[in-house]
Amino acid sequence: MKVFTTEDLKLLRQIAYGFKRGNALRTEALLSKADSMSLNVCLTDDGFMATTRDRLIVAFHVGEMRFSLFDPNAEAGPIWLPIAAMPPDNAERVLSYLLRPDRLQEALGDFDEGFALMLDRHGVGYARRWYWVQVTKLAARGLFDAACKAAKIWGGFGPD
Amino acid sequence: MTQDTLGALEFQLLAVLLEQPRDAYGITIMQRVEDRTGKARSLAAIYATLDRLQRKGLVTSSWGEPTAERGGRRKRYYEIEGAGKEAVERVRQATQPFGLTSVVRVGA
Repeated sequence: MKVFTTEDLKLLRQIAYGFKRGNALRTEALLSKADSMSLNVCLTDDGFMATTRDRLIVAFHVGEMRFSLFDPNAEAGPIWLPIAAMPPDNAERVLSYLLRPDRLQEALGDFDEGFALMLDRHGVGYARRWYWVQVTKLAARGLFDAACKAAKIWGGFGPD
Repeated sequence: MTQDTLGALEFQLLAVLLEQPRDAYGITIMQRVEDRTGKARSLAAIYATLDRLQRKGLVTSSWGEPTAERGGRRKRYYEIEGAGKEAVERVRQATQPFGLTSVVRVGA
């Protein structure tokens, strides 16, 4: 049974931005991708909703750029969060040039988990800052390692 | 850092892996180091140190199953080796009189 993964949520966020910016072609392409990932997306008055077979629903309010992940059978109503409360999705593009594939997989998973943890403890702003500080430090280290490797190849310089 | 010395972060990571061996992967190790020392460390520093410890033969790693909360990505679990346990013990014995845990020679 499929549950929402962070990859699903990132795709849905891109769809929300597609709607917000009125980019019909890109939105259409993203909706096709969602369909291929077994996400049922339907349009609403305020934005759109996506469901999976495990009854979970994610609703996006495009005008206010908020989202809510909830169980429709639960007694408590949906809690709306700003879209900024989702893990950023640009880090993979930056880090994929600098890190080994195994380290990339490990780091992106840890970043997503850490983001959720910081969100719980300190709120959206802190979580996003924490995420980007981690990405920047790891990118800097990746760049340094690549420079050392190149220096060793070309000039015999660099740490052993 | 040579093969037979341990830096401060190396020692802290080994101590964390020795004291709480269960569920030890990037983010949990980072949190435990922060709880233990009161100082936040970046994941970049944690990964670099774990790589170094692996090269020294003090730590090994293995992949776990992919999970939804990690976007379908797998965890990499770290485990302390016998040589790692011995290194921690040597540092503890050597630094006990001084209350230090920084760079200390741990070779025989």
